[in-house]
Amino acid sequence: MKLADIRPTFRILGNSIWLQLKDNVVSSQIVGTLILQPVIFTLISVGTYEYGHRPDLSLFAIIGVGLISIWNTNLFISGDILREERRRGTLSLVMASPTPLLVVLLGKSLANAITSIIAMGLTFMTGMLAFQIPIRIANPLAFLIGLVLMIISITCLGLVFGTLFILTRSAGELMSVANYPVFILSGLSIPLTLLPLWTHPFSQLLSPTWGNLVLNAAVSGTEGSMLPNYLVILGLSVLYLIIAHFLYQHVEYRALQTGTLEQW
Amino acid sequence: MITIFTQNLRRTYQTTTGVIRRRHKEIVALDGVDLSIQSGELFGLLGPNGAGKTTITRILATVLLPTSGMAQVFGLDVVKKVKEIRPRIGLVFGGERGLYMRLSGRDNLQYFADLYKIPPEIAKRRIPELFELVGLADRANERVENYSRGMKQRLHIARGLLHDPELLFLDEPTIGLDPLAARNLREVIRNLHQAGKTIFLTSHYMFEIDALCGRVAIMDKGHILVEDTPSALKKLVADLEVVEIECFGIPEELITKLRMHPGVQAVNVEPLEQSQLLQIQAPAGAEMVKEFLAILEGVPVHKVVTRQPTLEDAYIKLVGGGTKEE
Repeated sequence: MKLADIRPTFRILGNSIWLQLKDNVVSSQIVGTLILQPVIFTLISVGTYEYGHRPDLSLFAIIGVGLISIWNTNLFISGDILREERRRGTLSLVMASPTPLLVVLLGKSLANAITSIIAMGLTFMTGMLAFQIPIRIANPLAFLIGLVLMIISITCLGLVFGTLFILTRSAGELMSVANYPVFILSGLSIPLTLLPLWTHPFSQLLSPTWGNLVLNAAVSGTEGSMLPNYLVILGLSVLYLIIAHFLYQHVEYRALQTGTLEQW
Repeated sequence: MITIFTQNLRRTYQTTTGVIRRRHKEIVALDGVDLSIQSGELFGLLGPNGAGKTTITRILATVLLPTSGMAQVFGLDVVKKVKEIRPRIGLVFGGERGLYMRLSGRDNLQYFADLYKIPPEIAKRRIPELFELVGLADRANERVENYSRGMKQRLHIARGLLHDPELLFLDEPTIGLDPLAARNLREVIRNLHQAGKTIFLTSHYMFEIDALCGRVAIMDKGHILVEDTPSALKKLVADLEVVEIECFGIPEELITKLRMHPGVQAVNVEPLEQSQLLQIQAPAGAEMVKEFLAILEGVPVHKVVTRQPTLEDAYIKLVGGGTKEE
């Protein structure tokens, strides 16, 4: 990218975030993924541990559900963005512009991740109100850094999937397929130690695994430096961006070849 | 200087039928299209639905790849030089799609101005100018979902002009507009041409192409049938006259009989609200009205008119005549 392109790219990134935030405010889907789902997931997940006499895992469940909600919101709304762009007939017009669609998608995904902070807040509130779980964050700064890194990282991971959605109008089905493996392998719904050994390498490649560790450690106040985990999250985010970039080159060519940009 | 050049341009699509025994079928959308359009021209591409007009527009606008052949815009290959071509062209499709309905007209233009990397100080000046140009200045801050179809179409044009492109692709821009809105839009197109823009206009409205374009190509089933000035194309039917017969419930076999009648060049059936309009091309001065009415015996006839041929009749003769899809 040339130096002269950096300012306009940041401008379109900012504008895409703003546009998507505006759209999210009036979207009905946001109610489901951002409000209902976190509340229901928290009730089921925390309830399972509470009634199973393992209240020590309740906080783990709350953080897990919070991260699941961030991932869900990002994945579902990102898929929906492309479906909407197709339906509106704007996908090919955006693609015909000199700005790479990937930059637009990055901005919109970032907006969704920012919006999804609400879901994290809701899971904590549900835990407090429904199960009287006292939420005390032992290391708030570490938690905040971890949360910001997770939002960036989940945006980058969502971008890998979002890029694939350009190829198909069946983004909805693909979203469901992509949803569960990520949060199960990341140990967000059940502890990683309960997963078979062969799944562990896959878990290590998913940044929510590390984000979960960081947030749990920040809440419980575990001793030791968080820096290595932060660096892993950052490294994986860069890796996702590189994958998304190369995938996009291929996907754009394929979409122009098959002529599927206008199909919805 | 040549702005658009295509040689033996071909585009096919693959479709499949069946669930268990899947059969693959190749659909030819463009079949060996050769075009050469000069800078500053207002070039019209005419053809019925499915002729390949949108396919060629999309290929030239770099949003679809050709299957084979060559296509160049500003001397640049549309497959390899996409990044160089995109900032220099504007793309406008007909219809209501292609806009962000929940945003205001101004927000739409601002967003696309950013996508085209227009510096904010230029966009700030240009956006109000474009709203003036397309007559939407007093509605710029309203949500697009409240716009009429004609207003949306004018906003499309403004969007296409944001980055001041040298070449503008207009794919059926007046489709679905009421006559007044279509006339206003044609006026905008005429002004753009006078301002020096090269315009590639597709339409299936003959009078529109006749009124606007310096040169026209007629295409059907992926082929260019003929390419010339509107007046030269009208000469193709200069030795003919058109008999228009408005009638009610004409059977298909009588239309076939009319087509087979000696001297008849083409028969077009235009469905009207409650009747049908037969447009029969016959040699000028042959006075065949009585013969046609004899064939139509028993069919209620409302009106018979003989008139001079137009560009539309040249088009009907070239694409063979038949029942229009619209």
